[in-house]
Amino acid sequence: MLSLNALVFVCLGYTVCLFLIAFIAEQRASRGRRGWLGSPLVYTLSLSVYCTGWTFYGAVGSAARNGLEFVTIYLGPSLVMFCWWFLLRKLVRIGRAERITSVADLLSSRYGKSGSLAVVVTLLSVIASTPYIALQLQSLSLSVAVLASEGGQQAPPAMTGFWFAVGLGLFAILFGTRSIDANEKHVGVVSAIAVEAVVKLLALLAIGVFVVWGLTNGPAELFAALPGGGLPDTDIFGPRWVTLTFLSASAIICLPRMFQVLVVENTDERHLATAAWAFPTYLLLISLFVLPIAIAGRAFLPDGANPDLYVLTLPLSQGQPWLTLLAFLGGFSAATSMVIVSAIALSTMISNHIIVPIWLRLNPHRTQTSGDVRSVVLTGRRASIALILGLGYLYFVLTGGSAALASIGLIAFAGVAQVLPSLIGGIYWRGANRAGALTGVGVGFVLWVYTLLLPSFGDSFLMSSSVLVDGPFGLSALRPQALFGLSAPDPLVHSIFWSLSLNTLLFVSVSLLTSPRLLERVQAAQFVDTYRQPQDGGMILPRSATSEDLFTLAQRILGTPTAHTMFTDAARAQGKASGLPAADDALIARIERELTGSVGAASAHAMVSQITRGGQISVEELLRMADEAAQIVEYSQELERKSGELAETAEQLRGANARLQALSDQKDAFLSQVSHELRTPMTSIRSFAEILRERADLDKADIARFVGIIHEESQRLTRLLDEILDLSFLESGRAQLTITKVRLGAVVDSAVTSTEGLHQAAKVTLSVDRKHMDMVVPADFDRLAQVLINLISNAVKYGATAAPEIQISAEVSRHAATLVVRDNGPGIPPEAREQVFEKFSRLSETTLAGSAGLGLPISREIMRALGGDLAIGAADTGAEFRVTLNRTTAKPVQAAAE
Amino acid sequence: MSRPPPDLAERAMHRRKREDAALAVPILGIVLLASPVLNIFAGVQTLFGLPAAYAWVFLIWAGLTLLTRDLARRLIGPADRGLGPE
Repeated sequence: MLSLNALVFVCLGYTVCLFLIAFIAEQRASRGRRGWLGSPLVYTLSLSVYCTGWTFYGAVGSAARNGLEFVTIYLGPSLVMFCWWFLLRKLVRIGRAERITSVADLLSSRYGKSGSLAVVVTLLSVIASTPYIALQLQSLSLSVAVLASEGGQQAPPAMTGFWFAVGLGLFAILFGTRSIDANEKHVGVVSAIAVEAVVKLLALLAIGVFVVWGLTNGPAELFAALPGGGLPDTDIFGPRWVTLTFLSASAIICLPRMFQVLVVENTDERHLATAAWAFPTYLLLISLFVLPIAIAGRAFLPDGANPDLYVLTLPLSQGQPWLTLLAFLGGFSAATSMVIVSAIALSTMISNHIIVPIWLRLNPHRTQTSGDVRSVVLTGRRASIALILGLGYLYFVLTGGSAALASIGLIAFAGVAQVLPSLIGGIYWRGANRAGALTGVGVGFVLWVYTLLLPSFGDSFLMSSSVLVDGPFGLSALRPQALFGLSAPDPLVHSIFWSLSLNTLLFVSVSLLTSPRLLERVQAAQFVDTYRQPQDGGMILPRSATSEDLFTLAQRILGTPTAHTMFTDAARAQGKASGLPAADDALIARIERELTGSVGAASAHAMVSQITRGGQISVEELLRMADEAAQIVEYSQELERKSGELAETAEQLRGANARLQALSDQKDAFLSQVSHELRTPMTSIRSFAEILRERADLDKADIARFVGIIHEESQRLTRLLDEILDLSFLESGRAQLTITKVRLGAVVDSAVTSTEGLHQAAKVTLSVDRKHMDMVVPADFDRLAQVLINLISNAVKYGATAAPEIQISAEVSRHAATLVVRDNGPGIPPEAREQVFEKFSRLSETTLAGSAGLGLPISREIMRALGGDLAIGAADTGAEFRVTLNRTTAKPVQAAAE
Repeated sequence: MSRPPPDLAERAMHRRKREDAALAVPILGIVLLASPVLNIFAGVQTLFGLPAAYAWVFLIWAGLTLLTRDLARRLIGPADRGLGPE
């Protein structure tokens, strides 16, 4: 018979084959030649990781004890596969669009990238899976022990279990954590599992055929071997049937390893169309002979034989070593594939949702370099695999051989089923939110532990038998297996009823009572409306989460217009008329390039690779990082703007300074002019006064002349000072004006009379044109007369010719009345026409006769104060001064230049 | 633009029917395999020499699988590569 050494040799040889298959598959995949690896058949076979050592050996045991009930474990998943069109397809679509890596990631992502929800689901999965993994180690070591004892050898379960745990851990680490693939796909592992799937199916089929047609002559004879065909004479359908069907149905979605192969490892959505009927076929075939084998076991094996090992002991007892070996390899395949995929799936969850967040919290500044995160993730995953297998082994050693292990599979199903309400609600119900999911899963988790997991250990330190019988602290309403006095025939049914009903109730009601955060609402739309997002060449509402996230990121850093242009270009390059582009590698690389310009290469890469890989840093975190970067950019832009303003202000100040300087210069010039003008009469007064004092011999006529000069000069001085005062008053706007109705003719007559002596002395012919002279305007009579006197005196002084003439006339327009004083003198050259209004300017020193030259500036100031103006007209000969007055009000009007 | 609409509408209707059938299969499965219907076959009856419940469960199971296969091929036929109700 088979010796232990031969068995070890077979196991090692088989494992080496699996290693080779996995290795070759990875090599092919890395060279882009997926070939048969990418076929729907491999995908379907990989789903068979559902059939573990527990189902391989235990299904027959279950059938031997409870008849047809075992079939529910395969019916549930089949029914779910029939739902492929509207359930699994949606899950897979979401998984691909959102780059989902695990169940925990799916829930976390759906409910606003909630870290706490991911942690709860991860813990739940680990707690539920640890005994399940222990169960596999148990079935492996048990099968080895059976075969070894047949050969008269001892195989201590603790020892074999240990080596199995080490070997499986090694396999999982080698092929599950070689690198962090963006899609979390493990081609090698999937291929090895597909091969194992074939082995376990062939093993069961071979034993079944041998039992039905080898031991007996067909099924009819076999079923006749036991009364009633070996089926219990009771109703089949009942609460337990429904519960088991439901649990196994939810397990195919919620179990970490099933989610891994069903959603994460899916390479093509179309594979579902094949798996939808091929996987139920596989399950049907694998369960087809379970009942016959159980019946044969009961019929042909001694009464004390363990039904859980019929698969192995039946061919063994019939002297079929090769068939026994095949059965052993089938069980080996079932157990190993389950452990490997579970370890990989759980390690992804633990590293992504527990280790990396903790690491990021401890090293908040090291997120800048993505290499760091990668190595932490890889190390975390390897450590997690070791931890999971260590826990499983520990559990196996501590509880090894206890009857509790038999029901562990269903307990694990019940545990992970707590995720189902939030998962289904999350992909179909927009209103489901994080608070509801957290409450539902949390309460379901606690109830599951209390009503099913703890009691399953029997009387132990975790829960004493007195608590089971009387409830904690004697509270019988809280008895774990009869909560609130509900007595169910079955603890499993009881636990599922309470945990799942309260889970669902709280999930729905808390979701209804609370409102989701913004990110949750965004994610809800992504998940529920996943079909409306683009597939290859899709055209409706292109809103893939990843490209939207990338857009948000780009927007935060580059600003909306730039991001918009960039994404529109990318969409056009992809051949899309509108909307966001698909988040392909080219786009991601481009964004990274663009962001590099803003935040530096390292941060850009970290941000983009995190957002495309998903799960390791929350979107909020990224947005916060982006905000900080954007703030820095904004701040520097603000600084730039500020310095621009500063430069402008400085420019204005310089301008003001220059104006002030000019004013100061003017003032200096004015003062020097004034002192010069004052010194001339003063000098003359002083010199004549000195002559009068020192020369006593002067005759009376001289004295009178000198005194006359002094008198005249003092008068001139006084007049000059008066004029300066007058001008300063006028310029400062403090001049008092008495506005009355003034007839033009009256003012002109007054001015002519006042200057009569002057122009008669100079023999000037002065004529007044009486036209329009009756016009009445609002003005200050005396001041207006002063202006005219100034002008007439000027004309007399400067208009010196052989026959000097002065003409005064009036012009009237709609708004203004203008008095024109014209002489026939040399005139004023055009370039000097403004100069004459400057203080102390004189057109020619020689023509000045005793005036300080302030007359014209004062006159212009007076006219402006009256709301009119004084200007020089462009006359052909002589000078023409135009005094313009506003006809209606004494307010400024636009003076006519001519 | 000027394609005859009845053809398209009919095809859309047939497609809709297939999608509805895809939903009906699991419901049918629940009614036949996870309902009191099963109790009709409980006990000692036999069908083709097999226990009636055993035969019933596997026959229905195989039937539903074939039905799903047929529907899947119609929903994702070689001529209809695009998947999903776009």
